[in-house]
Amino acid sequence: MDVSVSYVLGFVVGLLITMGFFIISSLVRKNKGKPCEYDERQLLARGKAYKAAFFVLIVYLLVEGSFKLVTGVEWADSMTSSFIGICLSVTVFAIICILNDAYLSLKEKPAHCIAVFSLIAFVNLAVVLANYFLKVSFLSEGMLNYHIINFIILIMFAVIMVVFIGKLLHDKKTEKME
Amino acid sequence: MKNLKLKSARAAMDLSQQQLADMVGVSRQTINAIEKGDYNPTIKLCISICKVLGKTLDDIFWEED
Repeated sequence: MDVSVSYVLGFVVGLLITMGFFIISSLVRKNKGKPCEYDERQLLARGKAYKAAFFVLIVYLLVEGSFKLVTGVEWADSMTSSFIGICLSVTVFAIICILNDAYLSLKEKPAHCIAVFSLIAFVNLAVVLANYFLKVSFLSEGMLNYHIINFIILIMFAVIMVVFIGKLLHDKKTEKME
Repeated sequence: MKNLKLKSARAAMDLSQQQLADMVGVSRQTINAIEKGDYNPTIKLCISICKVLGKTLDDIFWEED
């Protein structure tokens, strides 16, 4: 696999910036007295969602590992296949939380969440389009490579956003009926 | 089983689900789930709801045969 040093450095820097952003935003929220609070029903629902996501990841790793072992077919490099598993379990967690009204904490606003999702989807769409126009291949030596990761993130956020907006519309409808 | 006592006590005080939820410190969906009987609240939450509505636990949460 042709992973350059600059790619690895870029990945690490991106990861550090993201972690820094979340740490700073959580500190700012704490100082403003807006901690990420969930009520007891939400905490219970989130626990169930974590459990489901954990088992989805276990099943994915078992299936993926067994498939490689039995067939000997390497369909994706190790980083990409691991990332697909992570995205799959995160998507399961998010969808279960959204469907059980446990995704947003008590003080979070849906509009803020949609804005963040849209931004992430847009950035990844831009990378996917740039890769397409630069004719960067998703395949190397017959395996999916890390260039597909942005496309997977795009799909993940698109699915989560569709479920989120659908649930929001459904809630507004039922709220009027109550 | 639906908790109609909670719904009527809330309606008697002219409170929406969101208003009661804000006063108790939970989400609107949690109040909705309790009223629909989809969620069984802890005693702590039951007490908070009763205090806000000015009722006893028996008034709101005791199921009569």
